[in-house]
Amino acid sequence: MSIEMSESENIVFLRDKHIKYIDSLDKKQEDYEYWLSEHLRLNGVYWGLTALCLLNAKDTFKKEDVIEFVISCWDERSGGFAPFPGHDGHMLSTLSAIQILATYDALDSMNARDIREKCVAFIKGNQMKDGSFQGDRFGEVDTRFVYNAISSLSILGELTPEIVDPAVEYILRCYNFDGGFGLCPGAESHAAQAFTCLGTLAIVNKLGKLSDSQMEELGWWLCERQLPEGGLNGRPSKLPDVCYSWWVLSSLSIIDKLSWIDYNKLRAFILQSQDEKKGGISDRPENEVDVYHTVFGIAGLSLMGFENLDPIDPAYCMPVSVTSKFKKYPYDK
Amino acid sequence: MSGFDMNNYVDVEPLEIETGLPDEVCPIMYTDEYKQVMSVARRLMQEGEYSERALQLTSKAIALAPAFYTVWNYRYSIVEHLAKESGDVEGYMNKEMDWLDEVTLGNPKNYQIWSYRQALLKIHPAPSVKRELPILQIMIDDDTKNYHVWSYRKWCILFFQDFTNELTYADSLIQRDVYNNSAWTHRMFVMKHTNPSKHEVREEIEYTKKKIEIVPQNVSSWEYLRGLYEVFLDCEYDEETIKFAEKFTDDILKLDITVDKEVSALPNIESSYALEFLADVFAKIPSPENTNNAKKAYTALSLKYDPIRSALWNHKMGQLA
Ligand SMILES: [Zn+2]
Repeated sequence: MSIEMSESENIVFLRDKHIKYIDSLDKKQEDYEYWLSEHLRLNGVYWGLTALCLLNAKDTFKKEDVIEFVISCWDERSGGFAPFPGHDGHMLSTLSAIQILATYDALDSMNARDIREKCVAFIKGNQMKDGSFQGDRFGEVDTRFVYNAISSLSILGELTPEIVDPAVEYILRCYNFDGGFGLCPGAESHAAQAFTCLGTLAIVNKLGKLSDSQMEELGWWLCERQLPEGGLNGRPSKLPDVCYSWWVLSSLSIIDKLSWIDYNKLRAFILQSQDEKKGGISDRPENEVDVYHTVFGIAGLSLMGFENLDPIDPAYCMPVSVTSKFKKYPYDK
Repeated sequence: MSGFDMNNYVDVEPLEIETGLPDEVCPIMYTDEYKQVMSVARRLMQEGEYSERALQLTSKAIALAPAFYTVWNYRYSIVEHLAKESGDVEGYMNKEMDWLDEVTLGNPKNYQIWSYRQALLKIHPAPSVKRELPILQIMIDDDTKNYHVWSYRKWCILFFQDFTNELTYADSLIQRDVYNNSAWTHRMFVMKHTNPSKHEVREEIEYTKKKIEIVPQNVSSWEYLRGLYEVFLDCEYDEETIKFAEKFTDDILKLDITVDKEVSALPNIESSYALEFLADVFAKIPSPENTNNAKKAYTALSLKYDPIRSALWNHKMGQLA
């Protein structure tokens, strides 16, 4: 046991390599793969920027260029932001756009061309009768989109009880018998959905809607995700994956039960998933790295207080230095 | 799809993408075909052309980039228009579903497919659950824990309000892999929606116990057993079930277990989940003996059977009266 411990303590966090890796991502425009991932581009920029902030290297990206790119992704027809110019506006990319602008303290760039107003209308227009949100007018419903909507509107200071109350009711219907949350009522519990549901409740200050016993069950289900080797999985009997370091830890942090995880073992799992040569973090040791697992690995380490990283807000998945300025709901009149 | 020919689009002026980045010096080198198809698709989308050739172009674009949801959105609008125009909405929609089946088989991980399917069924004049089950079967066979396919299956069952096949279906997957949590939670979904009688709940409990006998160390079946009692029986655990769980814990609760117990003095047990189950049951039914048993169970979990969660078990112990 003690030998194992000291071994994991010897693994080094490759801060500088991670910064270089993230910086290299946008310089790969000659790759076919790069273009195939157009539908996630804006999300990718948000992941990269957030990781850089936690690494205290925010200036790695050129602020003006990024803001210009974000604005070029705005889809005038829908009013939402697309992940890439020429695509349709979508809830996922709309949140990424707003998060990036907020991180740069540049939300006022949405004042041009009524972007802000139309964007708020786009988000609100995607709410369904049952309180859920669709991702775009196409109709796919998922608690992720509820989170996207509530987080976006919160960052913009545009939440209202008409939007919040039915959304909260919907989220509560997604709570399952096993103590987890699903993508919609009755769907299998999944760790990413725990984050979107608890994140939503935290942002609108409605965690009190969950009973004490539900909180207990949630904490149990969440910490049950840690496997004896240290990594976390997203559902029972699945393999561990670094991104759940975020989905599970942030959820536990929101309900104030973070200490139910074995930090040292999880840290070792995340650090073993680093690429020692080019930087970046993969889903599990020996796999190919990507920016998604890189940011969520780093965010997990930040929540646990390792590696001297900047603190991250578990509900917004953004630096605390940014979110501390957001207006807290319910708003004072 | 056969019949696709780039020559059908020579009159369309391609709409190139502009990223708006001032320093876009790097020439875009993605494949010529991808570039050609996407720039024509962009133009047609912008013009709102709803035609057979536009439909064929979306097939091609989806084949090249299946996750490009904007093209799926566009295809949906085309189908809506052309189905009406054709005068045979049902026939047209069936043809579209056939095409979708093919794409689905080639892209098991893509989830746009399933929301597109839902959207089609909503405008299909005569949707049928029979039409859906085979493709669902194939896709779940291919990846028995595919979250999106299972979610779509649930959506379908609710849409058609037909629960008749579901317990049998979930059972077939549990027989294949008793650890399949998706199949276990599907059973709970069915139970909750079908208002089972006390007798049916009892039968379900027996079913679950049989599966636990096969593999005692399985979090899904134990969680389900606990769920049945919580959801349908008001947590009224019976002696028989407690005895059943104790079988898998080598009667360790008869031992004297305190925090300073030597770990090596504790025997190996068949199922730590059985012990978790017992701890939870004993904690829920207050009596001095039960509380004492719960305390012993939590201590044992923390010391030996699930030490990675010792913080949780210690917390639970602290909550006992
Ligand atoms: Zn992952």
